[in-house]
Amino acid sequence: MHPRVKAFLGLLVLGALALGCAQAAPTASAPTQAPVSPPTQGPTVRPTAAPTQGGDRASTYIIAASGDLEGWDPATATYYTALDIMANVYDSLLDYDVSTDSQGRAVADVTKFRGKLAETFSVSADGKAWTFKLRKGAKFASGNDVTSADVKYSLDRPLLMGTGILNTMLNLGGIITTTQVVAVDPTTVRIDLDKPNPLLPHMLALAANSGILDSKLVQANCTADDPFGTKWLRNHVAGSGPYSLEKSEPGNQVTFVANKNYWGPAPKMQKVIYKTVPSAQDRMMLLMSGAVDQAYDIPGQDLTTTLKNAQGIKIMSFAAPSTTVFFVNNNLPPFDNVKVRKALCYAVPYQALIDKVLYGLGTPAVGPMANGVLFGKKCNECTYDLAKAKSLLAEAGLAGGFDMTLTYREGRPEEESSAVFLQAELAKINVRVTLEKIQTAAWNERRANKAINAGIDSYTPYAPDPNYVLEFWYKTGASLNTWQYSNKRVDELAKMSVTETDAVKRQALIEEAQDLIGKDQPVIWLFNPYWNLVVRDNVRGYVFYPDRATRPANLSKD
Amino acid sequence: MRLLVYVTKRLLLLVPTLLGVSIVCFTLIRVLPGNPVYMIVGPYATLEEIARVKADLGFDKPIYQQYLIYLNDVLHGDLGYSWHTSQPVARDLLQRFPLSFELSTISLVIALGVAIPLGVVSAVHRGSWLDHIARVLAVIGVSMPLFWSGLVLSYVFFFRLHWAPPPLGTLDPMMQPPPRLTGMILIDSLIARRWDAFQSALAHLALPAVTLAFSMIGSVTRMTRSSMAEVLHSDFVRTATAFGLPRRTVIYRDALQNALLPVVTMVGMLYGFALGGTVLVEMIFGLAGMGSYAFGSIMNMDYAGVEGVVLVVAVVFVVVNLLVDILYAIIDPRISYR
Repeated sequence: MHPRVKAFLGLLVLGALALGCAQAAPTASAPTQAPVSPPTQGPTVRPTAAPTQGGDRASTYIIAASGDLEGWDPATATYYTALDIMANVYDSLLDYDVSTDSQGRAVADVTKFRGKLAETFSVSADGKAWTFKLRKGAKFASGNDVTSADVKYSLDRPLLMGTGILNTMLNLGGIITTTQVVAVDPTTVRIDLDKPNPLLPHMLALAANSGILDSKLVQANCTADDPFGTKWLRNHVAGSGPYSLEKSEPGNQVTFVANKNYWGPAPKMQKVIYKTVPSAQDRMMLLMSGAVDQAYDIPGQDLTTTLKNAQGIKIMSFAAPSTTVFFVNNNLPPFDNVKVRKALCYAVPYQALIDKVLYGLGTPAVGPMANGVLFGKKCNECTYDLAKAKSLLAEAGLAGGFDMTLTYREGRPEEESSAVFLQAELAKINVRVTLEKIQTAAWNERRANKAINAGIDSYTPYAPDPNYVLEFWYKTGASLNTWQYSNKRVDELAKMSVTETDAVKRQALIEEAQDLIGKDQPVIWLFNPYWNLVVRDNVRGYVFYPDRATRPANLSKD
Repeated sequence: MRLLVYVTKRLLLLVPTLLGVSIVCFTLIRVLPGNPVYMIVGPYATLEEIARVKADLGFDKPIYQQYLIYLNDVLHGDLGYSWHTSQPVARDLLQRFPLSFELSTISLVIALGVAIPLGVVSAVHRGSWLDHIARVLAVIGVSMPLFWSGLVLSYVFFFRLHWAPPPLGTLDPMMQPPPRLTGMILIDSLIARRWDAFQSALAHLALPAVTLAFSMIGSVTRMTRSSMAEVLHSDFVRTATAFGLPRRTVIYRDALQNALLPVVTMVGMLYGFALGGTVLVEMIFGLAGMGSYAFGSIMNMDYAGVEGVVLVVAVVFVVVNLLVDILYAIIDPRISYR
């Protein structure tokens, strides 16, 4: 080869590499993950329905998701598109009633329960025995009958696994051991509690995670090294919900068709397609062109500009029970000093933050309990007051400020903008912030090892109950208590309130806990972001649930 | 015979190459912060559970031991298990590689089809307006990032002009795909004589292929131009012209054949570039090929997935370059294999 040619080729390869690196950066911020795969036998197998007969666009609902169509094992799945998928294919025993909000929109009424897969349910006078009568004739998509054995299997499984979100949820609802779930007869299930527990119905109404599994089907797919069928359930479904899985293409698309064996009314949308579209601009174009009916993860900036008056688009913002926090590790100096935490909290201009980061699509946080969480009260005493922030720092002996690292995750644009915003604001009280962006895997690892000193995080209780919030985020040693907050009295109050059936007494306990947390300021509550539903304007029938999942079975198109 | 020996030698060289590639990839991905165990167990796991899963997956062992286990598995045809797609990596790759192969091949064909004539014309008519246009195009092609050109093309041709279908994969979502044989949608639809599917697939692949081609056109044009210019100044061209051969014959028969030699070599390199480019193009156009799989695997710290992709790309790259070298000898009789 001619030397010049060689040199040119060398440069080309270098250039290609450099280009590749430069290009990798911006796309990397798209939260992406490929999901899960088709069945065991071959590359593309359709487990339930007959091969696609094309289909009718008018009765097909297409959702452009930003990437994650994660595994859908109800015992472990937490990402919200996974919640979506599970809410489509599984039925829980109970469901929330539906009412309307102040704007006349349909929302789940989290104070009232109704039967779903359980046709009726009753509670004993002492509040310890819950009896569920299963719907007669209800069948799974596989054709198997829904029996009490399936309910028992579905509730025992997470307990035996001893891990995962559903295990924690059931424990919170008072179900600790498998002996508490009793199959009385083929259509009757009883749950025995040690103490009455107001959270139990919530835990059984979480459509996504506490869906009832087709135990025969799951067990047929368990293996010796996968005794609970977790690998299989990550990308297969075994439910009785309105839809059944037609086809799963990992990292690309998941297709559902109406479940022919569904006990309830047949959904108007015969087919539901979740399509991974990593770029937000693409998702917007697809929605505006009508190629998809709904788009997830559209930046607030676009919602308030391009899409606001765009033809054919409907945006509905709901006050979800989500909270975004700026947290610090409460065990580490200087953050172990409450004065430092208070100083940080007085240094944040909250309204400017909401305007700049959320483009106004959110509300200031009143404390640990977001909008709509039962018994939530204002305990966040912070307002924007730089003088007070500085004097608090001085009282803590840090008048000259200090250096800190603020960590946030890849693929969370609002948390990233918040971090950048905070960096500039905290400089005004001489707190010098270094920003650190890491991948979810690294975040999870460091969180498990309690090695994040300060960061931005968001949380959403799927059941808007105060004990759910305390249990997951504020109790000593709780799995998502990334900030290492610990207050013995708060732990006690959480323990007492979780079994308190007298609503007035329970409210008093919860309020005391909130007041203590407000004083301790374990985190700086930044805002409660809205949940923004972005759909074509011919979509009807949406019902907002606190888990934020879309339930296409409720939807129709004009 | 000599060729056969050469090919065998080159194929044997594949072994150390792949070993090297796999060691580098294996080590690099483990140096990155974040361990897949924490993604697998999720945020609710206890420390005991994390330790148990770590031990199950062998991540508690020293890295050289992990590598030896991996190597042993690979030699037995097991590329590992992808936790995020919940299936063997080999099956993932089998499902996803054909599309990326199809896409990069089409784009390479487009790139060469446009760039070689453009390069020749600008070398022959140096300083003309055509030459300037070619140069500007080349600079734009090289300097415009793929993700950006992809978005712009998508915006213009899909969103504004409605010429291209929505970037939702290889087929219209309402259309029944042809039976899967090769995994390459165009070929599969031809085999099944599904003209509707063929048209739809062609329409869906056009923009991604053009996007990818666009990024290669620049360098191929420049290469052809400089190589052609060099040849046009060489003695044999001058001699041929002096002998009174028609200029057209000199340029398009004698000069071009010689000028294309380095371009052929470059095709091998470009193939690697195109396969790498599929990562971005597949993300933008919603295609489920190996590129988007690589991205998903990296984002999920799915070690086995990343290692599988790197191995496949390395094999393809080496094989394509071997083919190019063989081809080189066929076009250029001066080269012999020893």
